[in-house]
Amino acid sequence: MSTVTVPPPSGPVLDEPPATKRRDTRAALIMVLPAVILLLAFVVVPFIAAGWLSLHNVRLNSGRPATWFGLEHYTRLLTDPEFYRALLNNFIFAIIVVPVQTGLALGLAMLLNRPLRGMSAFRTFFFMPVVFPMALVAVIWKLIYSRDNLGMLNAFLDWVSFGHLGPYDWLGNPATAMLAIIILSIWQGVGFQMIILLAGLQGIPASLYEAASIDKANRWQQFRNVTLPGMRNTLIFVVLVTTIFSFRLFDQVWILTQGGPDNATTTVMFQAVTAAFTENNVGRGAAITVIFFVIVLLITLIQRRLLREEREVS
Amino acid sequence: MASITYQKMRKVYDDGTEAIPGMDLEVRDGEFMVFVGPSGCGKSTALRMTAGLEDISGGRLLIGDQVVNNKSPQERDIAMVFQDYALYPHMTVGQNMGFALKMMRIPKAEIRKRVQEAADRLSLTALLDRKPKNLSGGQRQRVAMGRAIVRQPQAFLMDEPLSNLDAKLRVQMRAEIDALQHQLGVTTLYVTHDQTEAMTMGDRVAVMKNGRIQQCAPPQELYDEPANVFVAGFIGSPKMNLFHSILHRDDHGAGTLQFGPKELALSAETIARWPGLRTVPDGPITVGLRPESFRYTPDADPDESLDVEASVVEMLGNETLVHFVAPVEQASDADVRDRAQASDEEESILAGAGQTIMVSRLVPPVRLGEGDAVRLTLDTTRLYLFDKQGDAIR
Amino acid sequence: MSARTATASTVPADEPPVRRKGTGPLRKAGNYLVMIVITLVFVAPILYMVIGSFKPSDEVLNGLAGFLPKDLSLDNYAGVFDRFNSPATGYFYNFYLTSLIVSVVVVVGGLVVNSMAAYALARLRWRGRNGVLLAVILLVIVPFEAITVPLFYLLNDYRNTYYVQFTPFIAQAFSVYLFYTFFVGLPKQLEEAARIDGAGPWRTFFYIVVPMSKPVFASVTILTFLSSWGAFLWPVMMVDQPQFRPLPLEISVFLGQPPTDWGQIFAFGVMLVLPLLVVFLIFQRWFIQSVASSGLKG
Repeated sequence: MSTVTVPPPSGPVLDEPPATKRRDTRAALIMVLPAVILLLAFVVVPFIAAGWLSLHNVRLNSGRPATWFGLEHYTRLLTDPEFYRALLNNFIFAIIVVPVQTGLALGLAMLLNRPLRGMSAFRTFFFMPVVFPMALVAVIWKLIYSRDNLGMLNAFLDWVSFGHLGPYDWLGNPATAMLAIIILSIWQGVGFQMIILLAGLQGIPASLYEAASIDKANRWQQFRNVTLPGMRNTLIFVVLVTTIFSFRLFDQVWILTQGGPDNATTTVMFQAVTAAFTENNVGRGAAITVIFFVIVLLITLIQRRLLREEREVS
Repeated sequence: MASITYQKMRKVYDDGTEAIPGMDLEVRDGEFMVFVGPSGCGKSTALRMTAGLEDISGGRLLIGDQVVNNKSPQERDIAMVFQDYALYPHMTVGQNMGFALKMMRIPKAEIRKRVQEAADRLSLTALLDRKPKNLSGGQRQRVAMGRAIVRQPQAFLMDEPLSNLDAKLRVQMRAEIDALQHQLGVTTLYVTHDQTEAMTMGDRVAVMKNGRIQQCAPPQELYDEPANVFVAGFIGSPKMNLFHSILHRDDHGAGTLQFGPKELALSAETIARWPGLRTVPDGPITVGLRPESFRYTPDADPDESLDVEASVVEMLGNETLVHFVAPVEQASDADVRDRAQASDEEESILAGAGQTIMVSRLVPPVRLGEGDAVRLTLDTTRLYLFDKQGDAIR
Repeated sequence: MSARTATASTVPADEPPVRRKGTGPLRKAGNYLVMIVITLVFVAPILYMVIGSFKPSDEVLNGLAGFLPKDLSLDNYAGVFDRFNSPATGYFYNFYLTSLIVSVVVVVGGLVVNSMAAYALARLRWRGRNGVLLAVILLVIVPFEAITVPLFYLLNDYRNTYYVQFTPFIAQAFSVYLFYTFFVGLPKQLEEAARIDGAGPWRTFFYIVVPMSKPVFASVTILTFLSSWGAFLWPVMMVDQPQFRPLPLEISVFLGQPPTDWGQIFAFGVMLVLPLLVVFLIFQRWFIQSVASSGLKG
């Protein structure tokens, strides 16, 4: 045997922690510190503060200290018809926008997924509204929704219907105000979803469609049995994000309707900002944002549960 | 001084698996040491621990006469060639090779000089401005080598650097690496799963299994004097034929080895060649026969030869490999089976219980066909004997 | 399509090509028509704004005639600059400057801070790494609106400044997460090779990892710029002095300032959106790719 035998080490066999770990720690801590400090200061602290503020009666610049209020803000909110109207509006917005916008986005994505020439140009145009800040979109559509026949939408309807339709006071009529906001939000947002869904579509191998058509599936059946299942996770993600966006609704409402007319377009965030900023009732505003966060958390958890089921099945 | 010494070096993972229970080895300065073994034997782990890419759980690692357990890879003054070459994709060949020198803050002129020298040595001069994606596999491999050479380190560590090349290129590069190492005289640790590479390249080869070195010796010694059944079955292609047998000795010092229904006669002088047999009682014993210990003797005395039926015949031009079914129980180390060679599958299909497929190497080649009756004579002086534990009997 | 009859006598020299259903010229034209109509729906309001920015106000709010390129001039653009001519109304260059300063600091600062943190989380070994990683992932769920009110309260003394508009937004859990998933996907061997070549964590990051991460840096830049330039909610609450108003806030104020000049408002809007459009048109591919990939990671 030619294994070289080495005389046993004279001292105790060492077991020190390798130096590499220590070195990494120093560099790592310096690298991570700025982000951690900023996130702590500007996300974690206010997050906790929201809870604290919601339990106190707080006013800015009043010289009086915050007084303990317990759950009073919450009880007031939950018995406030205006707040319920806001919740209802957000839910209505979500219930209409999520399926409609997602459906449109899916349809557009499928239209774009064909090997025709010029598809990337169309894609650019469909996506363009996403680049526009919502504040600007609101301004443009304010004009479009103008209430007399000079407003673009009214003029268009008038022309298309030979004078039978309109003019409508889109933003001034409680019956149509929310609808008006919904339409412009869909206009701005559908491109974003469309891109995500397009990426999802392109991830479905063509061979699945080929196999389906050999199995004599028509277009609709292929859609139901190849497209939809293949898009399940992407669709769930898109639905989640859009639903959460529905509850963040603010910019358009602030600019176009200020929550009116008659609370037809008031939203959770609008009320939060009004409470804290306009009415100087910071505690109430904080309580609203806490409720908002709970809603968002619930939606996120439901999505996780749905996704996990999918993974177990597959 | 750039020897590498392992003293009871251990590796235990966080979940408790002990990858390397304790390794003792000294690699001499300038030596080309090969770690070889089946996948999962710990050879790559040992290499990475030497490089500093894995923590050492216990024991000591010395480079030269310095304990380097706690030193980061940067501080160990070693260069590594990875299996996938790990060339920086956004840098040119020249920049790749010069990167380490830049990290050492060596002046630019010196960097350029060293890179140029290494490039000339490896015929890379024309490629210095190209990016890795525009190179062939062989060229990339040479750049990886160049990156290591330029460092003038205390040791080279190579992790299966040739496994991504096609067979012909591999043979060529083997020779080049070997020649390079001898020219430069740098201590080299080379990891491979290919025993042919190990045998052709190393000054010494350490055969590993389950984190332990089974035997560390120059290639010929491994071949001629394997320390146990594992090494015997791992080194050499085609594999050594290993089977269970029973040893009987008579009062005159001669003996027989059971070979199925037959018995192989061993004269007293033959038995005397294994002094270690004196302490081994009669009874079960493991026997190894290299394929070349068979001779084609169609006219031999049937009592002194084996009559077998050829099940597979491979005519290789310079030799004939005849696979036949032998009426003996196969012995092998479980890990040798794990090499997943085609012959193993063959065995499972063609051999039944109590039977083994053996391979014989006939030189000069003989024209035979499948199903032919073949008479072979065994050279009993070229047996390998192993005891119950699988260790060689000397 | 017509099958060939196997008569030996007459063999037609040419056969009409076999066409799959649905790609006839009529069908094709129909497809394109649909796409063009849809494009019009998306582009019409944008076109309205752009054309309107060159027209006098009463030609803009003029029913369908608002689309007509009539009486075009640059008066509105000049008018915007003239109109904002006092500290009370604010100066136009101030609005632009504010948006620019805030966006640049948020984007550049964010790239540095978030990428470094992500690298430490992805590749370095240190105690507490798993805890911080978990915390960051949890923070991704917290939308800005959930902390707007308390931040408003806490930072009340810093209203009407540049830094209250950028500091809270430099570190973003979502950006860290994007960087993190990208870094984790890089081949580890390259960083190991760098370590062996003598580079410590810092130099490995700057010389090896960053140059290989161009896609994620582009993605984060674009997404951050888009959200920062269009910020509205936060400025509404924190800025009332014209000197520190960013463009989106100012256009809403402009909207409510009599006399309402639609042409000028549209001109303002065009100037507001121009940087975004320019960046979008230049980096289209990156833009769309980054939006899609951020979605798929969900």
